[in-house]
Amino acid sequence: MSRHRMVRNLTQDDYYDDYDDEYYDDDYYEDDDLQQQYAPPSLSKPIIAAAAPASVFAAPVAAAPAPRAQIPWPKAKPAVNTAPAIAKGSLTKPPPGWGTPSNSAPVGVAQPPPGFAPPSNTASVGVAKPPDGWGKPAALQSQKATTLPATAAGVMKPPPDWGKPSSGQEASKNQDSKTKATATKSKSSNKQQGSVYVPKPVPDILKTAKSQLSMVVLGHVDAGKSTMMGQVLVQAGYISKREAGKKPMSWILDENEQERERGVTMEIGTKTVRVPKHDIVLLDAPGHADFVPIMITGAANADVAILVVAANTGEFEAGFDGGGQTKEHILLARGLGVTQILVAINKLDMEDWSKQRYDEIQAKVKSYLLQQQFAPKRIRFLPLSGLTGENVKSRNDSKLSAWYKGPTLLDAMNDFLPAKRQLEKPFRFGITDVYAEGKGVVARGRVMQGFVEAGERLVVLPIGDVVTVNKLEHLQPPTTDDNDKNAFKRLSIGMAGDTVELVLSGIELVRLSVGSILSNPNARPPLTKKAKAKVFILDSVTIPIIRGARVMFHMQSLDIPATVSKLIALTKGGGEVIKERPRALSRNSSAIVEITLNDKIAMEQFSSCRALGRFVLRRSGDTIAVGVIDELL
Amino acid sequence: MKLVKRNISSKDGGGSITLRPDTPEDLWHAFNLLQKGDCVRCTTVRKVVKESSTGSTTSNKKRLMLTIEVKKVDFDPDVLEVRISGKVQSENDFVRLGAHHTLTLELNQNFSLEKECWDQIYLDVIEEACNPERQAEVAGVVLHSGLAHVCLVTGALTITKARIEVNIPKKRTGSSQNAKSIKKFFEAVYQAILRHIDFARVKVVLMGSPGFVKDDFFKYLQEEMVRRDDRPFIENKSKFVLCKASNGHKHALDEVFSDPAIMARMNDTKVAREVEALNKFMRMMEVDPDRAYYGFAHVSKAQEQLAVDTLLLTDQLFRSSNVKARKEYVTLVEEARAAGAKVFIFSSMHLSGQQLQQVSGVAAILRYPLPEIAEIGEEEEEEVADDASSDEEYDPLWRVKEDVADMGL
Repeated sequence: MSRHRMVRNLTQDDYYDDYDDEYYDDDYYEDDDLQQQYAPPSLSKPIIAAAAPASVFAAPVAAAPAPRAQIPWPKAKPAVNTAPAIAKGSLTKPPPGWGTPSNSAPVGVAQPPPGFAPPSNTASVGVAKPPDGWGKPAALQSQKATTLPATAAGVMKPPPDWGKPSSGQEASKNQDSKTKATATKSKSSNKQQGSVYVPKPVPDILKTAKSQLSMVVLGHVDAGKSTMMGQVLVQAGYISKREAGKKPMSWILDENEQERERGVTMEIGTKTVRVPKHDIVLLDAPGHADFVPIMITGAANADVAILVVAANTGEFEAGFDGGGQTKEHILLARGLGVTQILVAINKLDMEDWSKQRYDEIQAKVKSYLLQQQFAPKRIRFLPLSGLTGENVKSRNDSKLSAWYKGPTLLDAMNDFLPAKRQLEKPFRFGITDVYAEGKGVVARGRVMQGFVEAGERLVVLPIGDVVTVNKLEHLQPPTTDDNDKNAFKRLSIGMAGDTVELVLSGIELVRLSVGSILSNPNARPPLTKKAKAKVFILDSVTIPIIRGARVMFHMQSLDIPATVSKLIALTKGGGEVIKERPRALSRNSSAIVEITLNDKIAMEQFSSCRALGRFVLRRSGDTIAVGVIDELL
Repeated sequence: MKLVKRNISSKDGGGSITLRPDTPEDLWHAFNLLQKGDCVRCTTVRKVVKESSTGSTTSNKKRLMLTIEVKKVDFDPDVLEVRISGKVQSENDFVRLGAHHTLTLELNQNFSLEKECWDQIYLDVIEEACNPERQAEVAGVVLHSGLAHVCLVTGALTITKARIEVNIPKKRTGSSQNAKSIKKFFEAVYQAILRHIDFARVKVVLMGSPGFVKDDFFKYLQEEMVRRDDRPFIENKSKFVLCKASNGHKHALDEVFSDPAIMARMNDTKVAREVEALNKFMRMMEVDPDRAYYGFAHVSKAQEQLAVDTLLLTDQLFRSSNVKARKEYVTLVEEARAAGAKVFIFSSMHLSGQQLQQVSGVAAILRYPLPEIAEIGEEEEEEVADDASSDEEYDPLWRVKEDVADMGL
């Protein structure tokens, strides 16, 4: 009956929690789901037929090309790829233990060495970059073989102009021109309707490429989030000391006049920074209680989080115990799928770098994080001072170095584990910002899954307008392998996890709004206003939730008024029903409820798209529940 | 509303009443009085077609006095109109008996209403509507960055006057777009307030937002009104009250009204009392769930044991086209009153009333805990709720059909 279990059930992330150590070569994807949703059963047969010979060709040694018959492309690992074996080997090594100095190897922070080569790095650190095979499930490779029967000889090499609608060498036979236009990328010949979704082959370049890592900065108001991030940007060399100069450090991120006037972050500040292993997108969230909805949009777009807590006497207590936002932020981040957290114990210089104070805070925060089902291995702590810059890139104060031997902030950021991306799932893009500039209508946002290239046609949901991506811009050019001739292609591709700006044509600025979803026209997420969901009621709830309770529904960047239209069942953490049709839901309980929104939006079952299946419920300024969508009604 | 004539039999409660609505709110009260099967008589305009001996037709509009038997009633909150359709019941030189017609109740125009039985709820509505002490009108503005609602709140109505939505690009280095669009947003809200709020009638303008949006906006308003010399604002500056709301969606208005400081200022208004009663119920739900029940089945069980202390209902329940269902609720109210309970009938045009409607439309705070009631199933009451919500649905096709029938086609 412990409530920890309940949270676990709710926010379980299959890419971290259960698989934890197998995280890297875990190629478990729910392909079945994908198929059921998009491909009519009658059509899948011929694909299988085509698949078998092709994949045998691709993997001559592979004994069993189709372990599961109903899956159009077999999941068998082609034997050509020796990666799995290597990956397995490197896996058994534990990730770099927190606090072992040897791990925080030599790190050139600002500019990574030009010839920065992932494999060599793997050798030294042992974790960061598993061999080529990881991240692209073996299935993908056979999939490629399946969908490109004619070019099977060059299995791994798509035709030069692949992806252009007109290119369909294979898209011949009985396709009428209309299908050709709508089914942009497919090479498969047996489709009758534009509505049939055939996943695009993942281009080679993405198989080795790494995506950006989104990092949200959390913490109570005035904990020093923006100042610390400003310090990171200065010390990493993105902003010269002279530029930062006289202004407060936080102004680097707080660029609005009102923010500067009041000394409070009000909007997400987005910046990029590069550490050797990651291209990081910093999302500096506001800490003020009134801006939690904005913080939610940040956390929903984040892979990892830095929690900033102020160490000075009174301030920590106020932010952590006394109704501060620290706990709420932790809960929200966890509920929105953040599983790695780095706790920066800030302002420790004001406590004279006292180890005792550090340990005290660490113990308190850690126990709370563990309660919220953060895996112990994914929680790290470090002391620093955002204002003076101590322990951001280096340590100068002997008082701190006397007892602290762990990594600096930049090293610790480098040690985040890369997140697993779902490239072969249908493309989804959540718009976080829209504006018009000389170049046209620009939509900034994050690719939730799949990938997108310049030139593609996409549909804007929920309004349904079709747009063309004229241009794709990364916030900072992604790190690529210098030896790869095709590396430049990465620049015009946004892969799952990347925060990119899309220059769109075919739409007016006023038609686009923050919170809209972009997707492939023939693999749209369903639009709905009613859903069955699993929720976990937080312990900050004072007034119980009864049938008909009016709430705000937050998903990605959207906030929509909604009602809890039915209380279906009160459940235990494991999902067993305790009571059907309860009269009210009170704090710390899990339940299955039906939620009715005021407007139709794009959402999906948690199993088919994580980002569109997670939500937060708030009421009069308080977060009351986190949940995942079970079923659309 | 003026009560012009009252002719109700003390024997069986049947009879007719003549009323004259003089504010839009009165139309809402009239809407609550109308029930399927009643007879309404008032003047109306109808197109009359005449056929001459040669077969050519001429049509002209005529103002007539018609009596119709109510078949369907609509209240349009946007234009504030009550439309009643049904079959003509009175003889007339121009209209056949039994022809379809749709009446529109107009301000300052008498109408008489005949019912088979005027029960206490109706009489209460008339009493409330005819109370000459006009309750204060309050304007509510809720906003957050990019979204605002300007609403007018009267005794029984919450009317959305304007909804403003502006896309505000995020801050970016070297771009002034953010500041520009915030200004654009503020300007739109400024104009909406100027246009929709009549300061002669509005006693106070409540402005709620999260964070500093309201302060920024108020600063903008003060600067602009001086610059443009907008008299209505300058003279009524003291009527603006800043308060807290968690967002700019319409239902955040409820939060504004439950703010204790605001509540004290608006002590006597119906909306404040309703919000307070509902909040009390919600708090009871937390403190002692055995003393707070909702749903007809549960509440009537509690009433059987004379346990109801405060009874909350929405007026929508009494508009139910199902006469039997309405009677059940009326009986519940009468019994509860007789037993000394406080009864609040919420207006479903208010947000608190809509919230209560979501919670099945009827709720009660009990005098003492009755844990055994919780065991009773809720089947029955769910049906009622569904019934009520389907009433609310507006079917445009039906409208067209009625209109066609009205024209005698």
